[in-house]
Amino acid sequence: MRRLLRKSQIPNPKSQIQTPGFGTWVLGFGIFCLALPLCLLAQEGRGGRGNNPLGAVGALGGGGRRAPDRSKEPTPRLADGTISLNGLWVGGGPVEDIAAGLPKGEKLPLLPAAVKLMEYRAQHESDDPHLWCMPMGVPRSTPYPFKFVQDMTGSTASSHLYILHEGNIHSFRQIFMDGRKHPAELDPTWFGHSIGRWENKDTLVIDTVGFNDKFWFDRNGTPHSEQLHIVERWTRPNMGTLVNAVTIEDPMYYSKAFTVTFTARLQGPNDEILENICQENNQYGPAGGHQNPFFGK
Amino acid sequence: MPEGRAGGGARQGGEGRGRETGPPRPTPRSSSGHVLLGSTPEEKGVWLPRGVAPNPLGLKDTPFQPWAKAVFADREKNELEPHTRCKPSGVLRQFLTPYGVEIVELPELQQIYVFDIGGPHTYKTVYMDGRSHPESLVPTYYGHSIGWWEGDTLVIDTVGFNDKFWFDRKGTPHSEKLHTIERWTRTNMGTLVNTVTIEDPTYYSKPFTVTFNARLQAPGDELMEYICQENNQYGTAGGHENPFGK
Repeated sequence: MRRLLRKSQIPNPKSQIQTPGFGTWVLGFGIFCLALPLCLLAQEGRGGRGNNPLGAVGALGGGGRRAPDRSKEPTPRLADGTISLNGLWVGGGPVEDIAAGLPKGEKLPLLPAAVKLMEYRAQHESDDPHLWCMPMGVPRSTPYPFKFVQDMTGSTASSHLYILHEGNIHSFRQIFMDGRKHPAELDPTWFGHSIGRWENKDTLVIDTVGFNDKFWFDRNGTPHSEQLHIVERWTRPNMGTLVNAVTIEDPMYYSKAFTVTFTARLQGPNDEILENICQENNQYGPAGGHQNPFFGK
Repeated sequence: MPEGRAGGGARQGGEGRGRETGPPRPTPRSSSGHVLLGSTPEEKGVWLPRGVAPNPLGLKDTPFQPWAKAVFADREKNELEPHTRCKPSGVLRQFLTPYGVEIVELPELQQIYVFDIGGPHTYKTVYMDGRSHPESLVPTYYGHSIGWWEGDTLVIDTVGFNDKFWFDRKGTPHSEKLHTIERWTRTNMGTLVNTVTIEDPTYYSKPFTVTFNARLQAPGDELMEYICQENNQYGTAGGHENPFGK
């Protein structure tokens, strides 16, 4: 069943009746949503910058349909005892501000170069590549769900694991699970080169290098360079919850490594990833009169 | 960046690299005898088409309805092709870029994924759990696919397409009524044959069938990252009007 209600700012429930181009309208609205700081379905109740012309999330009465709470159920496991990551998830990473994942009282160990770049980005919010339908990189999340494609026969069976994202963009991460090392020479990419392994069948550890420096960690524009090295530790403490503890190391912008932790919530059993093609009718792009920051580079 | 005309990028399509040499190896099967379309324990299943994107479908006599020819002619004249503007292309074209696809089967979850590199760098889901197509479908680029095995052939039935992509570079058209039935057979280790029956009464007076082959890439070949919408010279950067920009 399609999760039409998930795009919460649908003002008129009657507009959900199928009309020509409805799919596009919903997607277009979804994209419009991304450009507004308050469209944070994955962070309901956290608020945003408070200047959303539509008001607070849920103000129009739509509201994202909250997935049932399954945190009291035990963690599902494969036959060999490895945790199963199967399911549709929302959350698991920063949207507005990666610092939200720090332990209480901690601040990001930003070097002066990082502070300066963030100040620049705060004045040039439309430079966020995410708004231009570029991949969000790691570990950034969006209000849209994701899922793992995990070999279900057991932790040592498959050489690969994939993470599928609904948006932005409607694409996938590839994680090599066959024990290979990172290549000596890396071609910088949006999602980097990821190698993964299981620790005690309970934790999926993903080590990634080879990032380009083009994506922003969050809407605030928290930066990184091509020296970025990320280690994600994914665990599933119960049926309904995924925890992602991300250690970030980048000597160009941070004085030391730091760890941020985010949780993801399991979605309803009939929910599926929708097709969401950002580059179709992206109103934030030239159609919206915004200068493309990549033009001419 | 868009794929070049001759198949640009790191992976050259068509003949050459990765080709199976020597006598064909037998079709790989799981321990239960079921044909494996994707990876085997020894090798990944990265498939490249034989030849670059079909241009056109490869038919001698497409059973166009009279008005379909006019659409075709207009597209030939005004090449406002969605594929070069980084939009996904359903049916054949997901396979038929110079970069290939990877098929990942999850029998325990009764799903099959097809990952593509070039074009939108995205994925298609085939539901293998016996479900029917939903009654109310939001039209999408890749449609809604359900599949089942008939012996050694994987049959995939898809509806729910939007009409926004082109089957091929020439612009062979279709409508939202499009219904495709694909039949995939892995005739040997290195060869996948896909026979697609296309039914669309809006544009074609009767269903017709197209066949193409794919070739398994050499072990060690992996999907690479390809982000079409970054620096797409065919788009606004190249001074071309965005046909969707309205």
